[in-house]
Amino acid sequence: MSSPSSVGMKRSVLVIDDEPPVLKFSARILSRSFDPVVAVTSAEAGLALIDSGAFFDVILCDYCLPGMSGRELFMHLRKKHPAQASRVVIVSGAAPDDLAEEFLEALDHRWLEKPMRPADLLLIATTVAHGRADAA
Amino acid sequence: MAVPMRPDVPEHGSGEDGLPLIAPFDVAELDRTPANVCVLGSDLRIAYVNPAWRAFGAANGLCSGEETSGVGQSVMRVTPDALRPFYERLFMRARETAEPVAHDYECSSPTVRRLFRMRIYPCKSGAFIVVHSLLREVPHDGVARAALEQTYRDERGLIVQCSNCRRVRRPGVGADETAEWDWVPDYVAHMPPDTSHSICAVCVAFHY
Repeated sequence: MSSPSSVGMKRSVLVIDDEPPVLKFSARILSRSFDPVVAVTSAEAGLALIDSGAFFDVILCDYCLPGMSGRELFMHLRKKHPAQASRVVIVSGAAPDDLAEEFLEALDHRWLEKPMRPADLLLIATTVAHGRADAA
Repeated sequence: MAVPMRPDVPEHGSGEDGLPLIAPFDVAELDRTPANVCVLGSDLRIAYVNPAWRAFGAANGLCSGEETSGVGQSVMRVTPDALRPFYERLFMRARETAEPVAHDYECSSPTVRRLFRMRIYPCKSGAFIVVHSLLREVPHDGVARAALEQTYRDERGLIVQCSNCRRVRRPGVGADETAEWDWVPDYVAHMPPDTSHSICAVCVAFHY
């Protein structure tokens, strides 16, 4: 966890996925470029960290989660923590057509389709971490 | 049609597919049976397929017409690489024991789940008669879907599908590494609501 302007330092990433194999895989890949890599299995747990003052350079969140969904987390962050909302990347097993267009627009199309290729995961995470979401 | 040999299998009584297993097989008998039948030469090349075989292939987009029915090709050529050793062993066993060998397998489509029994009858000439009998066919209709829901939806209300191979995790069977994942064609064709995507242990090992 870091401040928003940690130039020259490794960036922080929060990974939210209810599936341990995905969490493990994502954390392993992201640890090449990010530190710390914080992994939690629910949106509620991730939100609790942010509510307590933590800031993440990237928040990689699964779309379909038991309890609060990735979409609900994003909408909540937009209201309460807009700086964090702009760091959210949604990961989904569904094709983008299945996600509501308005949601994708609000998200600035920062989504990644499962199965994730390690290179794609690192690219979008690094791009968002450096504040160039439009290039993702 | 040309069958290069007169199959000369021993008598086995009556098969559950309605094919009277008399010796020797009569081509007219093979033509009439509702089971999908092919005759293979000793080199496992397809020498003959019956009308039911052609009809099944055409209905499922597998083949149509003489050119694509597989006649003249080795049956191993249309067998996926990973499965070849298994099927080669089945044929070898039938040849060595001079006894029929049976194997049940699934051959489903997006609309129906099918279970077939394959029986390999060795012939003295070295050829084989292979009979594929449909044992069970269950449409993926509302009733079947309800059963699928009961089988695969976990205690959190989610269907967990591998994002790579699209198999579906059976809830409550084993931990992550030992979990069982099933091929559910209906869920591949139409993703059910509240599907969570994970990675099965086989795909983790293979891809990552």
